[in-house]
Amino acid sequence: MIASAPSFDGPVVSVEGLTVRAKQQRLLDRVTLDFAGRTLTAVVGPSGCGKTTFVRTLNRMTELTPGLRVEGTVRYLGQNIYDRSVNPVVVRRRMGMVFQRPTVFPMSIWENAAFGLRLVHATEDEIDAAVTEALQRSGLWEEVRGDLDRPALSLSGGQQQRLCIARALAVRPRVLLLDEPTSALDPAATQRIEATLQRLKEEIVVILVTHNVAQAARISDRIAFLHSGRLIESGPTAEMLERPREALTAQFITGRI
Amino acid sequence: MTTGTEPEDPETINHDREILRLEHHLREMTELAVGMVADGTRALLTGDTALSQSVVSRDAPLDRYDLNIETETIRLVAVMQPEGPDLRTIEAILKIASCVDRVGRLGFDIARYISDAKVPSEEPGRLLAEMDRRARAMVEKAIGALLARDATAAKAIFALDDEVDALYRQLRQRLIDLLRSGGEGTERLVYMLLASRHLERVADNACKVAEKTVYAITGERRVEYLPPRTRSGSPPAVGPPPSR
Amino acid sequence: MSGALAVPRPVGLDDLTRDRTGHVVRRTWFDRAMRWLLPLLYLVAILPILDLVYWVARGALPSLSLATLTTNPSPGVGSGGGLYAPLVGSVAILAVATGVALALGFLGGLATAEYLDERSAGIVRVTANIMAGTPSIVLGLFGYIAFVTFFGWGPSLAAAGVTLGIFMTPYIFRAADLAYSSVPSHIREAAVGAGARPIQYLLRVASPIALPQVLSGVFLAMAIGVGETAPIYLTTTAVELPPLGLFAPASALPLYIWSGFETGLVLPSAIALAYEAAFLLLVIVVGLNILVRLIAARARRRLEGLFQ
Repeated sequence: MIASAPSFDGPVVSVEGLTVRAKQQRLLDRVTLDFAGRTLTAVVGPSGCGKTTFVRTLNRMTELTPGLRVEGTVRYLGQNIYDRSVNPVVVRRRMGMVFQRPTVFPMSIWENAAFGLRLVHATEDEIDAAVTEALQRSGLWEEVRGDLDRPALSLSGGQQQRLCIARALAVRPRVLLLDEPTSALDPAATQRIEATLQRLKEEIVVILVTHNVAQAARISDRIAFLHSGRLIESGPTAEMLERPREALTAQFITGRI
Repeated sequence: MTTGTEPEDPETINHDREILRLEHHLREMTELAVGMVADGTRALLTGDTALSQSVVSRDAPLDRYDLNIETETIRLVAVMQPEGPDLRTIEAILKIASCVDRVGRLGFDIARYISDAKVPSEEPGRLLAEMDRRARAMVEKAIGALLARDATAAKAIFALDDEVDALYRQLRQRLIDLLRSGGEGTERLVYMLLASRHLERVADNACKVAEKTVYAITGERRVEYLPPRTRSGSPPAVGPPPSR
Repeated sequence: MSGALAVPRPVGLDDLTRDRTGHVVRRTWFDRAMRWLLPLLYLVAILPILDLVYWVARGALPSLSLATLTTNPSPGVGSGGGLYAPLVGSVAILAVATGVALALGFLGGLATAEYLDERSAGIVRVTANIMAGTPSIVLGLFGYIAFVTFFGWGPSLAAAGVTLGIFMTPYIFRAADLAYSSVPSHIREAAVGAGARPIQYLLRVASPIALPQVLSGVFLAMAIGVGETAPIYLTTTAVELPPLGLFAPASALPLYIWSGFETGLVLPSAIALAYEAAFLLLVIVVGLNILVRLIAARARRRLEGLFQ
């Protein structure tokens, strides 16, 4: 599979039969799931259910951990990202990823946001426009516009996390992957990031791993529930929370497991 | 989900225990309300003023139950942030509490129809007593189905409603005939007519309780397992009554 | 909640002067002694160094002058003169040695931290530790056999420099290895997740974080290396002139301490030269250490909050 079709009709990200093994243990077991555009999907489940592993397979970050074997396909705009001809670096540049803890580099705020663009040798003008836009989209612009050369490490935790979101958005990805982005933040900072995600889901595909059912209830359009590496159930949020079909899902959302 | 035999784990906020407590209050409220209907009907049929007073005095405690359950439910929603089955159960309990409140008030209304006039026939009294028994049984069965988490038992209530409706039409026709033919005990007969209407409403409320119970247990809404409801408020006598 | 396992309430829990069993808790004499004992021990530890500095300064300062630093030693060891040639020689040898040690140690440490698998990395690290533990005289002998004799360089700047470089390599290796290994893994993940190629990660993310630590290690290695005598003793000779070329003999300060001392047994005036050489060495070592402190402080400020 080489060139991408310029206009693609199907789901932006499509996962089929995804199985991840580590030393005789299955971290993910034949997961099949689609992610359409302009949707925020929350991937939820109890600890150890494989949701972090799942989201990391979407941009081939699993390759950083030795000993993980990945089977099945993950398609981005129809192309299998695990195909031999595909460079993982390119895959990661098409998708943005935000982690559990804020991961700002020891550089200025500007340089942090521009990082992804510098990797692809964008021009100063391109960087200028993209960084400003990204900082606005992530809701950080008003707070930092005065001094963008300040060290990023001088920002608060919530601001750092929004900077990480800006860094991911600066390269204008179609997909944003977030792994429990508000776990380490206080309620006010959490609220700001949730508001940001709600705005973003109007434009791109947002895939949010969270263990917080209430958060999923607040901002997601769809919920996918994983347990012990298997996809138990997925569907529109209101339906999943009012009337889950599987007993396991009901147990999870009511806090029994 | 609500087995009272699970060992209590002090680490978790015990949602099951909270819901069990709510259901317990609901059961007590139902016993009170159903008792009001039973005693109210008997007071009407026997002309027992003392019994009538007793029913009237039970209105205040009934109202307190309603208020307590409502307050408790809101508190649970705020604290538990329930989802899925818990959410449906709590919403159902709220609605069911107001249905039970209405049942009690219907008993209250019936109890206030006091007259010791003699009536020309025994038949209306028998039919009314039969209606009372069946309607009350429906309410008790419906609440029982909720507490036992038995959706099938809840669905069985709707068939019983048809029988109560048939009884109601029969009784209504009988009373209208008696009233037309003149004779004594008009006041009493009118009271019985009104009471029959109230008892029909009791049965309707029991159906509502059953409906919410099914929703709480399975998530199904009424349209998914019953034909659409039509109102049976047609005028009596001449033409054949519309089918339910 | 059952009460079956209730533990009897310990006596004295509400009394702050007693412990669980009711005994009165007092600061023992040991606890109290610690308060003044530790500062005392601290003084005892730095006393030798202070003493050292005092004696060296006492011996060197009377005869130390600008002339000492700018004139060459007189021919015939120990007969007086300045320390210009040994000073230049030490600096030159150190420069060559640092170059060699950087090339081997930095690249080696970087490769071990970033690219080798666990087993190979372990083997390399053990090797470096063995190298660090090798007696420096053995290294000097090796240098003599390999560079002076086998390669035919003779006692020279090159021979001494390369030998000293091998001596310094393990220290720079360790510094580089640790520096790159301690780049926080979440930072590395973030860079890779953003689509950085390995070389981009190294240049843009890892090195800015690791280099201060590497630099500190380099200066530290230099401070150690400038004073090492054994590696250079067999690989160069003390001459009165600064080195004329890479393969010409080069003098060095430690050699003059050594020879000054030896000659001084016979000729007392030579002792002064030894003291002066020692003093110069101390100055260089202290200077390098101060540099290390400055780098570390600046890096700490810049990287604050990164290592949570």
